Amino acid sequence: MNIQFFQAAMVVYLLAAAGYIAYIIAPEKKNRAVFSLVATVAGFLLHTAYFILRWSESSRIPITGFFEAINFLGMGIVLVFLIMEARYRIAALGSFMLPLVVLLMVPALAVSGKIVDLNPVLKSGWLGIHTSLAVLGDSAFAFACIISVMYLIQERQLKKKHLGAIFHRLPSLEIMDTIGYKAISFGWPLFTLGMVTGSIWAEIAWGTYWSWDPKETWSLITWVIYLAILHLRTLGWRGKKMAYLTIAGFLFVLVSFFVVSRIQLGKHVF
Amino acid sequence: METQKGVVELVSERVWKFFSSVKLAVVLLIVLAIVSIIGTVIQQNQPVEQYLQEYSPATVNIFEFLGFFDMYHSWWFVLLLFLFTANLTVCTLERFPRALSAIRAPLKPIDDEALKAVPFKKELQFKGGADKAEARAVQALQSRRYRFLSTSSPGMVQLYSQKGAYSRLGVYITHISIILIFVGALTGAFFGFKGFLNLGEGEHSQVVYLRNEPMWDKLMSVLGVSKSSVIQDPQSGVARLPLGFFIRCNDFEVDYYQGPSGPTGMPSEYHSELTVFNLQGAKIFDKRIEVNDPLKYRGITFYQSSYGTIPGVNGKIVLNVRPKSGESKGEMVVLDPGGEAYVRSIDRTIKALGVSAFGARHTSTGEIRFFQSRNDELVNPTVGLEIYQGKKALYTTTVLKVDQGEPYMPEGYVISYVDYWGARYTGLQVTRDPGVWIVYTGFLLLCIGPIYAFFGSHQKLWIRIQDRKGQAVVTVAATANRNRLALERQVNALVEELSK
Repeated sequence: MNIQFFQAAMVVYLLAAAGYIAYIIAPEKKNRAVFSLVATVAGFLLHTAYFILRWSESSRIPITGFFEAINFLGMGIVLVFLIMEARYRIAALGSFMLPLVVLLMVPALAVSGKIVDLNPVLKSGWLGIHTSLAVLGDSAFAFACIISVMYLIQERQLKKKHLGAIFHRLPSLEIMDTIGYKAISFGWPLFTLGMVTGSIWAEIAWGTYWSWDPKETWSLITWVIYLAILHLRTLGWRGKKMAYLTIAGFLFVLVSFFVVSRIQLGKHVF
Repeated sequence: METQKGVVELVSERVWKFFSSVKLAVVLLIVLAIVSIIGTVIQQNQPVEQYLQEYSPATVNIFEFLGFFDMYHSWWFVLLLFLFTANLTVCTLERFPRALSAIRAPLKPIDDEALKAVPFKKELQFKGGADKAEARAVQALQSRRYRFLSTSSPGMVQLYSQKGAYSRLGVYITHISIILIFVGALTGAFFGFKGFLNLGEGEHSQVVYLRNEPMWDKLMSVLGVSKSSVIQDPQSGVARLPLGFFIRCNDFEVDYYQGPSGPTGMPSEYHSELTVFNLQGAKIFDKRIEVNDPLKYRGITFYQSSYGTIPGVNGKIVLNVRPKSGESKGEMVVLDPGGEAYVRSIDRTIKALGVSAFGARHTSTGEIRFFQSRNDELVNPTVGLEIYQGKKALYTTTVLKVDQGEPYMPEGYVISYVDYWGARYTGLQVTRDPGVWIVYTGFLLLCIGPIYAFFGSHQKLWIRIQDRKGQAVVTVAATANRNRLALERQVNALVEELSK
C-alpha cells in the first residue's frame, strides 16, 4: 500500500522534470516553471509521506539498505533544490535537478523495497543522525555538480556567441560560480559532521573510530577531494576549472554511494 | 663557520617555505585521495593464500613489496600523512599570527587613499544637512545592532564598525582539529592496543589476544628500557597481554527475528553477561553488554563483536519444570545431552534425547522441522525429551527455545526450555585507546571550525558624512574577507534606509 506513495512521488517528479525541460527550451512560457515547482513540492510531500509511513511500518528510520538509501538521497536532493530555489529563484535549476533525481531513483525501482530485518549493529540512535548528515552533504554536492554543469553550458554559449533559449534561463556565470562554491561550503561541513558522527558510532559499536573499511575510506576520499577544491578556491581558482573539479568531486560521491556500498567488502552495511 | 650557518639557515628557510605552501597541501590531498583507492580495491590484511588465489605469485610479490596488502600502515602512506601534517602545521604557524593581528587591530577611520581601494562603496546625497544625516546613520546602525565608533574632523564625520573578526580563527580551528586527530591516532597506536577474546559461557580469562601490540611497549623492550608485558607464544606467534583482572562470561544469548513460521536465523540482538573479578578473585561488578553498549574497566573496553558455537563441546540443557496449575515458578533441571535426571516434585525421570540447533514447529500440524544453521549456530535450540516413571517410558515430547505451538504435555506439569548453556562463546573486541579523547576533541573542533570558517565573515563598514555647502554627502564603504554577496545585500539595505 505504502509503496504507492513512492510510485506517485516518482510520477510527479517525472512530470516536474518534463515541465522544467519544457520551460527551459521555450523562453516565453513562464507558467511551465510555476507548474513544475508546484509538482516538485507535491512530489516532495508524497515522498515525505512515504518516508514517514515506511518509518511507522518498520518502526525504525528507513535509511538502511540500497532501496532506502537511494530513496533518502532523492529526498535530500529535492530538499536542497527547494531551499536553493526559494533562496535564489532560479527556475532553470529544476531543469537539471529534477532529471537527476529521477535518474538517481530509477535504481530504486529495480531493487526490492521489502522491509528487511535490521542488523543489531545498526540499532542505534546514531543511525539516523549519521546518515541524515551524510546524505544532506551528498545532496549539496549533487547540487554543486548540477550548477557546475549549468555553468559549463552557459560558458560554452557565451564563447560560441550562440545564445540559445537556455541562455536566457540561466543566471550569470558569476552567480553560478558563487552558488556552486556556496553549495560546497554547506555540503562539506555537513559531510564532515556525517563522518564525525559515523566515527563516534563506530567507536561505540566496534571499538575503533576508524578501520579503513572501503566505505569509510571512500568517504574520506570524497571529503579530501572537496577539501582540495575548497583550498584551490583560496588559491584563486574560479569558473571553468572549478566547475570541472566540482563535477569530478561528485563522481567520487557517486562511486562511494552506488559502487562501494553495493559490493559490501567491509562491514559497512550502508 | 659563518657561511655554514648561512647554509643551514637557507635550507631551513627553504624547507619552511616548502611546507608553508597551500599548493603543496592541495597536491598532498589529491595524492592521498588517489592512493587511498588502492586499499579499497585490494582487500586488506588477508592471508597470503587468499591473495594467491586472486593474483599471480609475481603480482603478489610486487604488491607485498609495495605494502599494498596493509596499505594504510605502509611506510610510504604513513610518510604521506606525516608530510601532510607537517604541511598543515607550518601553514597554520605561518598564517595564524597574521590572522591574530588582523583580529586585534583596532578599526580606524578610513582616509581618501584607502577608500579608493575599497571595491564596494556607495555614495548618496542627503537632503537636510550633515547633522541630520549623522543622526539618521546612527539610528540605522543602532537598529541593526552595530557597535560603532565615530570620529569627527572639520567638515566630516565618520562612523565605523567591524564585526565577525573572530571568524578568521575558523580556518585555524579546523587545521588544529585535524592535527589533534592525527596526534590522537598516534597516541592510540603507541600506547593502546587492539585485541580480542573469545570466552565460552562459564569461562574466564585474565589475558587478551592482541591484533596490534602497543608500539611503546615494543619500542621500550627493543631498547632494553623495560620489559614488555606482552607474552609471545613461541609456537603460534600469538601475543597475549595480561589484563590485571579477570573477566568472566556468565551467559551469552542471541535473539533472532521471528518470521511467520518461526525464527528467521537473522540475529536481532545479542548480549553477554560479564563479571569483572580482581586477581584475588573478588567480584568487582557485573555488566550485561550488547552491540552498541560495551563494558569499560581501567581504560580497557570490551565490545560485543561476534559469537559462535564451540566445536565439539556439549553444553548443559537447562529446563524448567512447573505444575500446570498454581503460581509456582517450578524448579530448574540441568541435563547433559543424552543424560537423565530424576525430578522429585513430579516423580518422573527426564531424559534428554539430544539437542538440535535449529528447529521449528509447524503451526498447524505441530510437526517439528529441523534446519541447517550456518556454523551450527544455535538459532532455535530444540530438545527431544523422554519421560520415565521409574524404568517405564511414558511419552516423548519436544521443547523449543521459541515455540510456535504448544509442546505435548499430557501430565499435570509443564517442562519448558530455559537454556543450552556452555556450548557457545562470546566474541569480544578488546581495546585500550588512550588517544581517543584527543581524537574526540579534534572531532569537536572539526565540527565548530568549518562553521566559523564558511559562514562567518570579518566585515568592516565605514560611513563618511561630508558637509558640502549645507548638502550632506554620505559615503558607505564596506569590506569582508568572505561572503561578499551577503555583505553587499546588507549594505544595500542600509543605503536604502539612509536615502529614504
